[in-house]
Amino acid sequence: MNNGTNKARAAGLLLALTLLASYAFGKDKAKDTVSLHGAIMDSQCAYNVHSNAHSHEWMTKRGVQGATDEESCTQHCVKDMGGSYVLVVKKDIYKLDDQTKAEQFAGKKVKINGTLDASNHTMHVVDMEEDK
Amino acid sequence: MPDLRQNSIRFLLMAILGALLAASLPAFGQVRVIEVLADKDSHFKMAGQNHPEITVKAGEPVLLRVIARKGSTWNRDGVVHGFTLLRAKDHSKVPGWNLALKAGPQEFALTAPSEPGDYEVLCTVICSDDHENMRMKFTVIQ
Repeated sequence: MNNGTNKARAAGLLLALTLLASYAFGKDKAKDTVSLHGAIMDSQCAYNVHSNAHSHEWMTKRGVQGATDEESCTQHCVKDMGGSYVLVVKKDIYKLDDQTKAEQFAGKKVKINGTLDASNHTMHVVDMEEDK
Repeated sequence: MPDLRQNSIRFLLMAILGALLAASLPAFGQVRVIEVLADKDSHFKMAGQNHPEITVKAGEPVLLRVIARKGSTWNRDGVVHGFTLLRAKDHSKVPGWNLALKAGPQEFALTAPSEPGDYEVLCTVICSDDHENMRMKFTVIQ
């Protein structure tokens, strides 16, 4: 009798776990994965009104030390000046949750796959590659 | 007689407990207030200081009161200056100290870094030609 009760309990537990796992998996799947093509920039140059084209021109033209091209300007603004890496797609700017990965592509054009959090305009990066 | 003794011990224990509690919590209204002007000429300014510098105790709760004035450029979202704390040794950011300042007065309830040492406050908005120099020394003592 006891053996039967234990088996029923185990089966119930297994069913509950299966349902929980499928719910969690389904929840993740519900978030649409998107692919975005843009450039990795520093938050300072990306957000500032000085640059309508979201470029580093203003910084590089002024001869800011350590900011001579797109890559060096991005690195300077993030590593020396407290900024963060963002993805710029035309006029839209997305924060990136994976700053380590973004660092490898500073100043470069990239393709990013991930999920978008519309509430804070943040891209949760799944993978990132150079967009040549 | 034993009752009187027990009550005295209880009273003493309560007094010790009260004293310990009072010592471990900052009394209401006694959180240190730090007032900073993030000015339109891209300089942090503090009253009575030619070269503004903030010194706090490790883990100390502080109320940062900032007045920000818009420089010649600003961010599209209306942020006019940044107030970001970096560790001097490696320029890593201190969590919780990456503040976006809008024009006007604003307050932030913050906790000082737990690690004593040298830090630097930087503006993270390109606010004028002199933006790169908008920085201030910040020291955490034991």
